[in-house]
Amino acid sequence: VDASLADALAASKDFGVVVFGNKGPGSSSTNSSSPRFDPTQGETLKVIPPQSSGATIKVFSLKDELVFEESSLTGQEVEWDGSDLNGSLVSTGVYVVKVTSGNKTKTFPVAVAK
Amino acid sequence: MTLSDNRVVFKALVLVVVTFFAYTSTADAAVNWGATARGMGEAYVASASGLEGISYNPASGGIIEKGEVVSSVSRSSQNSVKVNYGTIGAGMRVRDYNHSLVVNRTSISHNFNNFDLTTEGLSLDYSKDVYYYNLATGSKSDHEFAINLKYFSVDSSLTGVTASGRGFDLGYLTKLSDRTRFGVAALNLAASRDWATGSEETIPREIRAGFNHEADFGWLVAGDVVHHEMDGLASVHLGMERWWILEETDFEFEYPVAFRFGLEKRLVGQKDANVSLGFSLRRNKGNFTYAYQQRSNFDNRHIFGYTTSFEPFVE
Repeated sequence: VDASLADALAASKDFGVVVFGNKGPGSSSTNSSSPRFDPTQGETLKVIPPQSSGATIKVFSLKDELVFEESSLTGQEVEWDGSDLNGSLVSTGVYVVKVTSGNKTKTFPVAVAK
Repeated sequence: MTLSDNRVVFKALVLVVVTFFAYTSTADAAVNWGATARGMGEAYVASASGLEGISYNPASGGIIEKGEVVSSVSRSSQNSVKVNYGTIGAGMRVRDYNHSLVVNRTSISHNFNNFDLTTEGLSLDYSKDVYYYNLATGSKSDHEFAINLKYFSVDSSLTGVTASGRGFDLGYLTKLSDRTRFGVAALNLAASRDWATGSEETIPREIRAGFNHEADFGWLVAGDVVHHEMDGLASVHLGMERWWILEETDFEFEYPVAFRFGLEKRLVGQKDANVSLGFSLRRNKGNFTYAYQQRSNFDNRHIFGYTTSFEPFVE
């Protein structure tokens, strides 16, 4: 994972980039070496959409239950801080994330490791 | 102490524990499985029969007359993400008790090739197993009691994302009349997982309660409600099932065939409603079951199950 976020954004104008293990709003952390983050350490899953778009993120458990949902305005990032719809931290485990950004939808798993 | 005394003690113990813990849950830790249940919209706590039903109601393990082997597979998918579910198990009666062992696996394997530059080359492999030991009174009487002892195991390619844990379920089935059954199950009692990261996860409890009734028009009608410890009343399930006998007179074959319909309404989170349908085909001691389940969030799910019984199925 050597590419910088700027390079990745430039290369992915139709979607943006996903950052695992981002440390806090506005952070410029680069991606961790695995698709995981620890919310108890202030880490989040961040989606940086193309400048002309917002992003919508939906998180599902492996039982296909909606755990989290959030959207951002045009040009703004959207983050999942590991909380569920009630505001409580989810348990350690793997979740399926569905992101709509730019003109694309991508789905991928992420591990929450507390 | 006689065998009869043992049974009374066992039933009393189960009742005491149910009363003591009586309360509730949802947990990602354990995934309900079984093509028959899925075809009925998971309205299955009173209809549960045999090993297919023990994740809904442990007392289902009591509906085994002699012995049974069960298997089930299904997959959920959303774009490139595939989540696989598989179950295999066996049970048999020893004296007046049924003993069963079942393992259920949920697994996911994914790589981020062609995703974006910063995630290129990342991958994730994850599997979680739930091992069930089911002990049921197996009386085939008007009352069935049972307990699931569960062992949880999680393995993955990510450091720290491994775990083990344990818990138990209790279940009860009874006949309210010749055509009506009632079932209740308390799931994930005293259940927790210890993660390699050092955190302990308490798995929320869950109560499922429901009935089924053989209606005058020949269909079995079932309804369940599910109460989660964290969410309160979480979902309502409705299902229908009917068996027919297809006859092939030239060869003197008889094929019992079942059709099922179901509706599941979630009352928390996305609050979506999904329909399901399914069928079963029996031949000798084998029972093949298929279910289709509509999913709001993922591709629709297809579930396949096969059960072999060591005695003729009871019609």
